[in-house]
Amino acid sequence: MGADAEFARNAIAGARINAKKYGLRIVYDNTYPPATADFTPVVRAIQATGADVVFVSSYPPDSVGMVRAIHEVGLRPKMLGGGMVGLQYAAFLTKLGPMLNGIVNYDFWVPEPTLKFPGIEEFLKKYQARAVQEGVDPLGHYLPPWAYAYLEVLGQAITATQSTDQRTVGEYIRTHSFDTIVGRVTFGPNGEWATSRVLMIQFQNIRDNDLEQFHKPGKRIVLYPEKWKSGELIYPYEKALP
Amino acid sequence: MRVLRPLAAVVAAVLLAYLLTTVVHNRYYYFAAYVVLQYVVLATAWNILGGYTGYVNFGTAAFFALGAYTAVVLLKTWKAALLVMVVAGGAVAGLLGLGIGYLTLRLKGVYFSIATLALAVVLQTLIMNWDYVGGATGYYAIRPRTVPLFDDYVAFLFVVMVLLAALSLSVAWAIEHSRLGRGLAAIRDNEEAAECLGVPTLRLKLLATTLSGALMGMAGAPFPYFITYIEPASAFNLDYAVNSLAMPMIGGTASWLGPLVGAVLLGTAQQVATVTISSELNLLIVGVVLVAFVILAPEGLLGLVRRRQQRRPA
Amino acid sequence: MVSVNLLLNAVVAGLLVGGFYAAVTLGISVTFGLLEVVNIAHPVFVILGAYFVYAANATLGLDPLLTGALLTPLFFGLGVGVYRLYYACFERKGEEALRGLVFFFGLLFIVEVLLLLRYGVDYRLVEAPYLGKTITLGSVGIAYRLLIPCLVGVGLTLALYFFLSKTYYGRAIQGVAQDSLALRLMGVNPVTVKAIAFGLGVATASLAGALLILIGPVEPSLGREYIGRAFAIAVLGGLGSIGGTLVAAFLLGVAESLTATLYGPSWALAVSFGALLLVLALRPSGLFGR
Repeated sequence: MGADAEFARNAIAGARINAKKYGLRIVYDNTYPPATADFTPVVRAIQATGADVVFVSSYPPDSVGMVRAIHEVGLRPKMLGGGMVGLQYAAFLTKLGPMLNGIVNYDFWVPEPTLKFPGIEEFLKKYQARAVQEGVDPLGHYLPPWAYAYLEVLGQAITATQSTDQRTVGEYIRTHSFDTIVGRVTFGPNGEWATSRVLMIQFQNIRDNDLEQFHKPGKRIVLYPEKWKSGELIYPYEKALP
Repeated sequence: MRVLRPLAAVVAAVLLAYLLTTVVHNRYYYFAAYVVLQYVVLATAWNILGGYTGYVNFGTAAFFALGAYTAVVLLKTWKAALLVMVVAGGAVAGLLGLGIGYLTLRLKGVYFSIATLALAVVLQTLIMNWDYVGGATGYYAIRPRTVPLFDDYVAFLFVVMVLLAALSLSVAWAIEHSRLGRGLAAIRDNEEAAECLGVPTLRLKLLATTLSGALMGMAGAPFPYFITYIEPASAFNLDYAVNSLAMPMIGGTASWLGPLVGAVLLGTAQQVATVTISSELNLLIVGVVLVAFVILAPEGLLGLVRRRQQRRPA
Repeated sequence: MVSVNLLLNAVVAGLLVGGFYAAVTLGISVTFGLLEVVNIAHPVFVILGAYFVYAANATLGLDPLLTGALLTPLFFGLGVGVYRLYYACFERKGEEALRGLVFFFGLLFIVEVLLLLRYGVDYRLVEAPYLGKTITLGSVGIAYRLLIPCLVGVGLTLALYFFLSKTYYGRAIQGVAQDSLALRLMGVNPVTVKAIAFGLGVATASLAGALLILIGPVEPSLGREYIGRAFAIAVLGGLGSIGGTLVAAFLLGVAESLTATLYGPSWALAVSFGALLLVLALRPSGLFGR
């Protein structure tokens, strides 16, 4: 299930390939247009297929609509989530609260002990103090650390090469590793990170709508990549519900 | 003589634009100028229907995107040349104009406006679900590496847009100086009276929607090459509808010069604002200028100038 | 695959969302349908209402519906002001058609951008204790999140309907729509009546805004998505017909919901707008037009 947009369509295309690879039969495969006000008909149609795994790639307002509709309809697959944009922002985390439990979704950084790279604490402290004044996301876990890390990579490359020539700097970035606040970064031959760094996390033990809990570990458990795994998947989905 | 003057103007404009590309090499100027010229075409096309007959088209984006997606189909299927895409884009969008005109032009003006709005939604949904042209995922249009006579493809696109802008302005000029223009003006002033006097109103209106749609489609045809990545949300953007309506209003809807003045002024202001301020403020400027103009200068800039000239003693 | 149960739920979901669509459209039915003012800025007034509701909820913890209701006088005033301006600049000079349209288009942009500058592009949403609950009737589940907007929408329609048909001012408004000269001869100032009607139309936007943000997150340009839908409903229902608006809203909601369930949500919008195009071509006065 996904939005009619480039990101969502691509994510779904990937999900189809993976489903085939693991021998999963696809029972429902659809997209929805922007400005869909109500997702309950969609969720009911999915429920009627009796799907075990529900992969959703959605944009922020739709992610909220989907999560709410899933609870209103009572959809209980064995696994749920995937590429839902928006479930990383503080505003949505606190508003949805316990409804998030059990959802497995992508993320870029979460305050789990396995991801405490040098510098990240200081960075967040500085960011969060400013965020209140600027009226932006008060947590800053999702994109800001990566944005900062991009500039760290660029800065280190420029310092090492003593050059701002694009070719020289680019060559250096391709052939070296960098220590950043999101860990060690190495690029592969295709220009992407050598090993994928997108996290799969599961929301667990969220009891209320308090913002404070999301500053602490134990709410968004890293399942993948193995290297930073910080807990176990609660399976099936239903078991993670309060 | 009548046909020769606009024709000469078109040739001159294109030649001048070509000479310019041999002198100026900063690509940014061509990108910016392309956008402004594209709006000259859209505003002029909109005005042929909206300004001359008083029927407000909210679906500029539909015609524009149809031209763009016709180009995508031609490009993907036959690797067609750009000029073929432009002609085909115009033809298909013109047919759509004829069709929608036939369906709704017998109605009161507002219904026509709403129909065009609905048309844009239906068309966007169709394109979104049509995987051949990329659907909602979008389509990457890779520009040809080289083009004869030009160093740079963007410069070539710029000259193509100059051609289209000059062409649409001459079409508007020709309409104004013909019986068609007088017929359309009669429709705008009082449709029933015109009908009674034997003006074939429906036929004239159909001609206007077809021409207007075709020009919008032509403006859209080079868009995939210009933007290189096309997807429905951007091709059907409401901004096209707003701008193509705002520009004639600001310039003045009574003559072919109005949309040109409006598009050049507003389009340039937007380009400058996007680079120097922010795109949000840019929209605010459009909104405020628009409201200020319809209240204070209901006949547009040209109307203002004319009134001042009349007031001055001869 | 398609069971009766699924169909039933789809119809109910369509009716629920239809009630909400009616709330968004009512303002247009009054301002555009009765007064013939092409008020395409109405959806952005709804967004404005939603943001006020959000602000009151985030800072004071006020209930969204309560705020929406409390704000109606403010929006009424806004509507009266907008109409006075519109009248002075356009209607009085008989230039309303094209320029009035552009005026409202500009207004739409200004409000949208001001919201953007004040609140940013982030989505905003509200909390209310009743949001998460669902009641089940047999095999049909009804979420409060959609039930409440639907009930309020229906209530608003009824209130407006009775106001227009039973009260003095309501009848005057209907009179203005039909023959303002006759009204003037009877000693009623049509401009005042129209200003009241326009204010009333805009006043519905604050409540509709509260409903909108109850249903889902809101961002400044969301209003654009509702322009087409709301006008489609107003035309479908027959311009100026309040009851027709409600019926058309239900129809559109059910059509969208059924398409979403049976063929996939991607086609939902095209089906409802395709229906609108057909209605325009075949029966332009709408389903319940005068």
